[in-house]
Amino acid sequence: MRYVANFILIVMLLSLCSCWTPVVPPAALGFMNVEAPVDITYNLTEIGSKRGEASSIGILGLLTFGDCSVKAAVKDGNLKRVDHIGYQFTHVVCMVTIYKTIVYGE
Amino acid sequence: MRGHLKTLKHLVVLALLGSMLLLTGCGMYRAPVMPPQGLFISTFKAPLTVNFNDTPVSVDLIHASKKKTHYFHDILFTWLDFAWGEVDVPQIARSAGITKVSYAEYEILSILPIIGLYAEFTVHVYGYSEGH
Repeated sequence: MRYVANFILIVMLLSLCSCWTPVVPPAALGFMNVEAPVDITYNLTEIGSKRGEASSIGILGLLTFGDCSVKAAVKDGNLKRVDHIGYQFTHVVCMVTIYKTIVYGE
Repeated sequence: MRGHLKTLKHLVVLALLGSMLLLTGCGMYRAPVMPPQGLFISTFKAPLTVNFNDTPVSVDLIHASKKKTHYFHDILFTWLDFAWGEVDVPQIARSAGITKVSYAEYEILSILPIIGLYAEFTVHVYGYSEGH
């Protein structure tokens, strides 16, 4: 029973390394630093040149804090209009995870 | 009875390991459309954009695919795996002079996906330049 409980704990801890977005390139457990789109519908979208970012940080899967909302990213980039949203996900052996929302616009 | 319980315990452990692989690394990827993968090698293109309501897809669209992400699993020394790269659509589009993005696709190259040895994930962007 303790064997099964230990594995459940490991699965829970390791699942905290993943992020749930529509697009996730091949993911790693050791080290990961990838940037990918969240918005996948374009239909002749003209993407502005300005960029804003907002991050949330997780430590050991126990503590997560920050603001990775679109509002915070818009404020960071001083945008009036958002054309596209993407993200950057970085982690080191799942100990520290940083999820960054990236918005593009004008 | 003890034999059945032991088998059940093994099955639960295997199911948890399987879900662990699905939820986390080991070269697994996620996209809106995921065709079946091969165990030894997988290389294919599939849609990223899935909403095509009146989207232009003519042959005179500009195509850009300069960026990809890489995944590598060190099975010799550390047994750790690493993933890096950017498939940021605006940067891919800008590199080819695309100012209006029409749609996007992705391409996956996975070598020995059964053990997650090496993989590349490329995003293809199609659109028009300014003035079109």
